[in-house]
Amino acid sequence: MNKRMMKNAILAGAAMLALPVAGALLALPGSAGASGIVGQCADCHTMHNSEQGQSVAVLGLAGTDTVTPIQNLLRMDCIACHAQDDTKTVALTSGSIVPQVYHSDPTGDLAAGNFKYIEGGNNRKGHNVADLFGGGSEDNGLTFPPGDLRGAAHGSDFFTTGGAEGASPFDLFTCAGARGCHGTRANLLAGDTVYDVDGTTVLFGMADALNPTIVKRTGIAAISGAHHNSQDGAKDPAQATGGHDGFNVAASYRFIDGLKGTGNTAARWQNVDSTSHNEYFGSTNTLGTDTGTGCNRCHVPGTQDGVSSRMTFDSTLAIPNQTMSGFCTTCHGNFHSSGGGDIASNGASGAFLRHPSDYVIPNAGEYADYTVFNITAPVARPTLADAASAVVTPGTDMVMCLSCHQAHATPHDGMLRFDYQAIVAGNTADKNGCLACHTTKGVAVADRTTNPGNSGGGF
Amino acid sequence: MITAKLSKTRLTLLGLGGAAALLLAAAWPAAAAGLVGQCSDCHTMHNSEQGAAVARVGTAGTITATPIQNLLRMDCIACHAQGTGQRIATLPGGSTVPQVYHDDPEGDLAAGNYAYISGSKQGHGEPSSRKGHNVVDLVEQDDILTYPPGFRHAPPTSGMGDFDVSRFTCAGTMGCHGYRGQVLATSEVAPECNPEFEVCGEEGEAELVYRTGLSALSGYDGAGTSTTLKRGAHHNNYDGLKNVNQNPNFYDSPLAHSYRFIRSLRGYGNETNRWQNLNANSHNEYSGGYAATPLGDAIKGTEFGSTTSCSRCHVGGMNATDSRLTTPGQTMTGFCITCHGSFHSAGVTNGASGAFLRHPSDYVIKNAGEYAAYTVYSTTAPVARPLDFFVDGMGSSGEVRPGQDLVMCLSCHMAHASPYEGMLRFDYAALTSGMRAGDGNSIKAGEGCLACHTAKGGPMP
Repeated sequence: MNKRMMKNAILAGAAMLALPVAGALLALPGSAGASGIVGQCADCHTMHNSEQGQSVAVLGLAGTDTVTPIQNLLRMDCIACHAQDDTKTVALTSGSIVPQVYHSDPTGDLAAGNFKYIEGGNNRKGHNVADLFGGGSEDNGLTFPPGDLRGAAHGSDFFTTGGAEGASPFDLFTCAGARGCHGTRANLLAGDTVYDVDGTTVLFGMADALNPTIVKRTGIAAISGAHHNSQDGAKDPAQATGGHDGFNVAASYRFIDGLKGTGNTAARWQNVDSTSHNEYFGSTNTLGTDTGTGCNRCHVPGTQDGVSSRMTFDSTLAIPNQTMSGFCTTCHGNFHSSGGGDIASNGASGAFLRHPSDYVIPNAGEYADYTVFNITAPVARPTLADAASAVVTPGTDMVMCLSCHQAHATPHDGMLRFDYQAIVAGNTADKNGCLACHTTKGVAVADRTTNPGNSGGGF
Repeated sequence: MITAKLSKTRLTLLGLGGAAALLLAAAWPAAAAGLVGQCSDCHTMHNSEQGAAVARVGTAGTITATPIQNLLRMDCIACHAQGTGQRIATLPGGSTVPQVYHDDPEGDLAAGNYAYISGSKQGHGEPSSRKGHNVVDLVEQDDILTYPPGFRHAPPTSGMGDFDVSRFTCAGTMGCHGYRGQVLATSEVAPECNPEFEVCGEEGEAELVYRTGLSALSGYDGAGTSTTLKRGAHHNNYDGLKNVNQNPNFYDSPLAHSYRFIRSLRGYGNETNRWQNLNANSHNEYSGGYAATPLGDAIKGTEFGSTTSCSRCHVGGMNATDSRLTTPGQTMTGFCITCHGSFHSAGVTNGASGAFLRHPSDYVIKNAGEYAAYTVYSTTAPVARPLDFFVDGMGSSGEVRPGQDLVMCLSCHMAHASPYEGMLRFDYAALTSGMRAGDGNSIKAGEGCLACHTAKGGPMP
């Protein structure tokens, strides 16, 4: 066991005597149909961060002791709980099972991947969240997310350097909240207008980036109220509509506010094989169909005080169409490529300029042969699934961003599910990765029964 | 002869009357007001009866030839920790005495039972210092802690006070009951000094002897600097409602008017089943909340983990013959934070996120969400009542009112000792009987944590 698991065991005291019982109980909470958080309060909470006169709360990858209590009476912050660098799921002392996003389990990773592949400067392999890596994508020169809709002009401070915002653009790229993915995003947590001693001269308005009172909602505050109200399986939340709603975050797939999806209940958090995997939600609707136009395709502006209308106490980011690809679009918008022209059209030729996403796999040509779910090329479904299905239906199911990428990090550059340079056209029996959909392109020309050009898709 | 007959009759009548009086005294109902019983139950004039000493000290009731102050027959422990199998002892003349150390299989009094610390009564798991306050009058000093958890004077905080677990007593300085922080006497340093109760300085320096034990049940008190010696806590004691009057300085015996002789603490002692939290309709009522005044706001917002704002707790200066510790806000939680100040968590000092850093105390239970369902009093999770609850003629209430009643320290802890570690009312961390969230399998569903956090015990719908 690593140091933190040992520490948990020692602190639990009496639980050491009950380890055999704990071992038996491991099967219960982790079994199929388990409903969200199950287990002893003491696994995750400490009332005063004082047990036997000692502080017990721990922070970060190293599990550093902290005398300062963690908010919500937690024993661990996000990373100390979800990144214990051990197995891919960790059982806490009395049975609560915790998915791990950073681990060294040789048997494989969870569905979103494993941030540990980034360790050692391998920035191309994943999202460099500051909670784990202290920010900094300088090595590969990124200053904003690839495909960001407005490039460096997007927003007032995702990319602000210096001052109160951080020394480099990704210093504050976090797991959750503002400049992150999970929980409530684009939401202000605290802030005041700062006046001079005369009481009337404004020193720092809410719009001033250097205002020392401004605190954006990130981290635990972004997912507050979600853990205890979560459940496994199909998640069908309402669209994110402004401010922080812990219940809606709990109802959302992977606590991404407004995102629909179905978590694997047979093997929690994992894509194992064609019959045991998550199900992702897709839609061919034009972006903005369920949100707004222009910036408001993603942004839900607020009306209360704030830095701007898009960073107030009641603002948030919505998920266009509540799909997985719609979620990715909120940061990588230029890569949205549905052929319909809602971000970028295909141009005069009609040929795709970027790989399609949230686009129905044609039931024609080589694509018609993709009929068995392949976890190296997952598809998105147009209706929220109740459970995993091994069937892929060309003409109905969609290619999405996660068909090729993983959300956190992978062993491969570009956060891909496969080595891009290793996919070989023309002479391979492999049907994974690109070739899961492009079923003919691996086959030697002489052996083909389908003309890759006869796809009906113009390419 | 007739006279003699009459005398005999008179004597007989007197005897019958006396017997009747005795019977009445013995049969006095449980709701009797305070101390009732024969003087000889508790006092001995010369500690000499039939030529032998009768005064007893300690849990063993050891006979002592040295008289005990106030002509007592027993010291605090010999009276309140008689080591019998009863949680309420009855003295020969009918006085009933609450016991703080016993092995009564029927249960314990509201504050718990120190016997769990030593193992004289079997608690949950092994006996341990973790089960209660290690008052040295009764048990071995704490073998884990050197100062109270959350102590506002703890190192590295610059402290004007100090704590010595070897001197942690029931009453007085470095204790809970009676007058705390008050000097009893000042004397020149003797060549040898008894370190048990004295601060030993260099020879020639004044040495301070603080009020502890029996001496702490009397003390100088009053308004401002006009303090006088207040005595007679036991004899002026009464059951029921204590200290509704905001200013305890006007009482002849402030301790008698204070809940459980804890100076200025407001509270209601169960009159139906004295000293017990028996069930939803028979229990003590504890005080909570903050007055809607600038002082109330100040107490609510005070970061009790620091050593600023000394006057929140210290009255009349410090280390003086009329200095004393008060109970901030006169609430149960206010009393606890005089030693465990860092754990004060009333919602004002939560930091930028607004989320609680420590479990709330003296905080109104919200009438919203899962908390709104806690409406029936559970003795495993008692609530504190706001000031307007305490009125003359009150009794225990079986109702909990989210939006008005408060969570307090004693919602989860017991004051003396409990069968569980952390002095909790339940086992926080054991596998088989602790609080479990999420699957409806908690043995303690609806109790303890889950009494207020009503939704967290069950599975998601």
